[in-house]
Amino acid sequence: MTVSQAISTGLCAAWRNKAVVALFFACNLLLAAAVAAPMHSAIADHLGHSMMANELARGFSASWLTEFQLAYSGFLKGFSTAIVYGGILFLVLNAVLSAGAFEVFARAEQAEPEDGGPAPASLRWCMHAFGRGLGRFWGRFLRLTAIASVFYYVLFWFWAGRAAQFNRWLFRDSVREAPHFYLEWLRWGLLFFCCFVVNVIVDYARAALVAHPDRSTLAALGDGAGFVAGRLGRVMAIYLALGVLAAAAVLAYAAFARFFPQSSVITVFMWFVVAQILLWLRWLLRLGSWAAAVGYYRACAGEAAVPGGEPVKVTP
Amino acid sequence: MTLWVLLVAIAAHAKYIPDPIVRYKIDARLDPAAKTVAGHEIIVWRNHTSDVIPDLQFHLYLNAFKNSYTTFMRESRGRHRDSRFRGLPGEWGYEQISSLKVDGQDLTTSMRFIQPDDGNPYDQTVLEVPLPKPIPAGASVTIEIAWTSKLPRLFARTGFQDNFFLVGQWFPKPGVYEAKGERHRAEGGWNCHQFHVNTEFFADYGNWDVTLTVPSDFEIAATGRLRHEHTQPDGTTAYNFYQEDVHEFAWTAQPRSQVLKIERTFKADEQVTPAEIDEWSRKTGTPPEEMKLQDVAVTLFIQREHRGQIERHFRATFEAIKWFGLMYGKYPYDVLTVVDPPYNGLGAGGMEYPTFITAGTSYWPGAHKLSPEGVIVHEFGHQFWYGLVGNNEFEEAWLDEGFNSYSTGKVLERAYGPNYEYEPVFGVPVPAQPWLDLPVPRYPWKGIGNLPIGQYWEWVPLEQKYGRAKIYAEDASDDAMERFAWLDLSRDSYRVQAYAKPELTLRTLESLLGDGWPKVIRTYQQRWRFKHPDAIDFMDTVREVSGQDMKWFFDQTVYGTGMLNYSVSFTSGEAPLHRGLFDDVGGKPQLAAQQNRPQRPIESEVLVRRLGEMQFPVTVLVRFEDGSEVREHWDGQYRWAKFKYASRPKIVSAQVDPDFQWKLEVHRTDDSYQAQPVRLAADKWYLRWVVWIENVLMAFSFFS
Repeated sequence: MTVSQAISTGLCAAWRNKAVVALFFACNLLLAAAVAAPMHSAIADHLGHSMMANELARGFSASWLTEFQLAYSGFLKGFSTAIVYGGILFLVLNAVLSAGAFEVFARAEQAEPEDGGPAPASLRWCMHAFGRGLGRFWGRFLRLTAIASVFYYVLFWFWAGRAAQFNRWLFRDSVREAPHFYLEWLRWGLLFFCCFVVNVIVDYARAALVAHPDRSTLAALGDGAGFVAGRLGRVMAIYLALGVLAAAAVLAYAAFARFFPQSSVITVFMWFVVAQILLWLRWLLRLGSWAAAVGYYRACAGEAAVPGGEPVKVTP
Repeated sequence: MTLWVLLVAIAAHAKYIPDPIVRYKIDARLDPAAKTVAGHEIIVWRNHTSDVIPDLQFHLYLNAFKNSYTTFMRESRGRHRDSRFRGLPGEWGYEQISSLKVDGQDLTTSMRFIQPDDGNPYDQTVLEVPLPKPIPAGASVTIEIAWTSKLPRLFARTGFQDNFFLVGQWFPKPGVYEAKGERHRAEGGWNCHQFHVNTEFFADYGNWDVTLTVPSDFEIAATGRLRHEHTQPDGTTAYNFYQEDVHEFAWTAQPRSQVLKIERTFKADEQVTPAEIDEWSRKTGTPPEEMKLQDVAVTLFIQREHRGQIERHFRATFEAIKWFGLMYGKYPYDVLTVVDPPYNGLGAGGMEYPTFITAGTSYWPGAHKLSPEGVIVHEFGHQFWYGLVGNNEFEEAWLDEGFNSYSTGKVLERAYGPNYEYEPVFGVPVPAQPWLDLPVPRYPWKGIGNLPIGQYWEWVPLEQKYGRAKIYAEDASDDAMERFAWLDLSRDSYRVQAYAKPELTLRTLESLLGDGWPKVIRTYQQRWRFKHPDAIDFMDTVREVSGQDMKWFFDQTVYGTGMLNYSVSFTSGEAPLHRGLFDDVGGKPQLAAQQNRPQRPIESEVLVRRLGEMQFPVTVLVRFEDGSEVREHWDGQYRWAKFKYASRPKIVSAQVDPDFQWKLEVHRTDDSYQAQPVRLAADKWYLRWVVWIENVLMAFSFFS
């Protein structure tokens, strides 16, 4: 399977399973809405009957922001913490839900009828496979996340901590910034690259796990690492191509948010809807990358049929 | 004979001050390996007062870096701006006088250190020399000093970083002797303060003839104009600089291999249009012929690795020369030197000396970051505030830093626009600074801290005028502006009192005086050039030029520690029903008639409260349902005032300071009140937060 085939396979699979995409998107939206809720009352309380609200409704006021930051400094500190805790909660939730998503891409997607016609509704109904995968793999997926967290922690400890200190120490008396500057960029580049590699290994470990349900977490992780090591270029190409599309969605949002007026109930609502559509698109790309990983793993492993579990035999 | 020739030489020329108090002739040699400057100076100092002066006092600023117990080091704790002093061997600095003669008489053994500010016995930054014969009124003395300066490692305004040297406050320098009445002094005496971390300098204007000898492969930049250079057989070159009518001399030296020297001329006729001259002529009430600026030879010394920023440096410099000149009068010197300090030498950045400023940038600043532009404009502004109008930076730091912060903001707004610090990334404006200085949190247990996540996804206008509002509102009541800066509660408080509060105070004063303001501030600048004014002189100028007595304003803003904070609210509705007993026509109590839906008049009441200590005259704009409006006035003295309306429609809104004159107001949100709260603002910004947090959560999920 080529890189482009893997990407198109992944995106098509994600598109066909829009309900799964919607589930991730909904969890993201609902959790964010809950975490942000205190901000609504804080802003409303601070504004009260003030005419400053008109200015904020039309655009923005740096003067108001200054006052708000001072008056609600304690709240903002707690709010930042709440966002971080929300992020950690979502990290765990995402790990659990991804068990269902990988099962969908591994089973329902692979269930191709022998005559090439459409799969029966029972298999195409992806939420059935989703629930089955969730129940079967959530524990091992969480263990994978825990192991990955250790790797991420080490990566940040080294690249964002020790390597940064070393770089500062190395050029502490220099009068030229350029070498330090480029080493800093290299350091950040290596940090991101290492994070991407760990991320990709975890994704392929998940693909290995759903392909071989009887495997342990560590065995799957080893399988994923070996698979990525053997095909690093292609694997990263798939990964980065979809990442670039996601970045384009972020930029599209930034441009839209900048230039679209948000001064009435209708325009604010329209802006929010567009923002959500773009976020949904990014979830589609995220799940598309998982589906691509499953498809690419399966293709490279040369598996004609899905091993393990119940054999999927479709008759017209 | 030699001495006489020298004195004649340095007495020559004086464009603005015919008979300066002090004239310097300095010869100094830099030893880059030892980090020392060995010097010899001849100072002709004149007693311009009617006092008989029994002693001399000198600043020996570099002794601030002599040990960890000096006043400077105790106050700074080895930190200044973003630089830290490590205190390793070879990094300390000092000034050692080997010989001091006054009118030929050796007084080396009579020298003693004094500590007029804090009595710290370890501080040797002020030297007193009792004279065997007092200096009569109007007489001059010739002081001859041989000394060696060991430069400290750069962290605060002066010193070395590798082979880069910023040599400032580097020679024994007389303090300022003030007569009774000068700067409103009660008694005559020396004004010679110790070196403090927050305060800067104060000196008499004079003429400078300085010869500096440095290795020939070094590039040198200094105050004044280079008159001649002479290469010597020992591999050094002697450079002679001359400048009159300034009160300081500083210089830098660094290997030619790391710096570029670029010379251009600010040509007034090309840089300033006739329309701009007309505009400022009208605003300031100055005849157009007096508005004309002069050409300035600008020399930029920029690090080779910053060569891509040459145009930015020159643009900022030219904009500063132009706009400061239009606002306050021409920059009177014909030279200006701008020095870009190297990496790890930023302790040398952002310093102002006459005709000589240091800037500061990074290897790759955002195109719209306004750095180095902001620092160039600011330091050039000090040519006007402190350079030309020579206030005492020790005692009234706000008179230069505050005026200059105000002026810097104005020039940046004029030259670059209010929202310049955003740059387009694929056509999308993104805040210029963070994308290079992004503080990435450590995964996973460090919070997002102060990461302003919204800025990364959306454009939030940042207005220059609000740049200092936050730190002002946080700390403004800790001290007063008019106070010796080293006595301020903290360094944060100093920053508020010297920079933020004066800037906002001047912006408020500008609003209150309206069209008369440009003439006021220009007159103050012009009248006090080459002199030492104090706050009272400024206030007198305001009163005289504007014709308004603003004592009430200055008493509270300059001398007070209060905050400006008013609020407004109102009630508006139908008058109560007539119930109970009312006297009838005959005066007999009678039960009021029962009415089902009586037509009752509207009663309204506006409540204005003074929540802060400052008392400003208050204007309240009240709008009614029928579109009519009324402006109420209150003296703002008592804690509250009410305005009642019995025969008007319901009130729609009320607003204190409707013309936004009070830039010092700390809580603008409650300055207005409307009958119906607008919920859309909270809804809209809540939804934005939802979107931002969705992105953050998504980023977290990457690590699952």
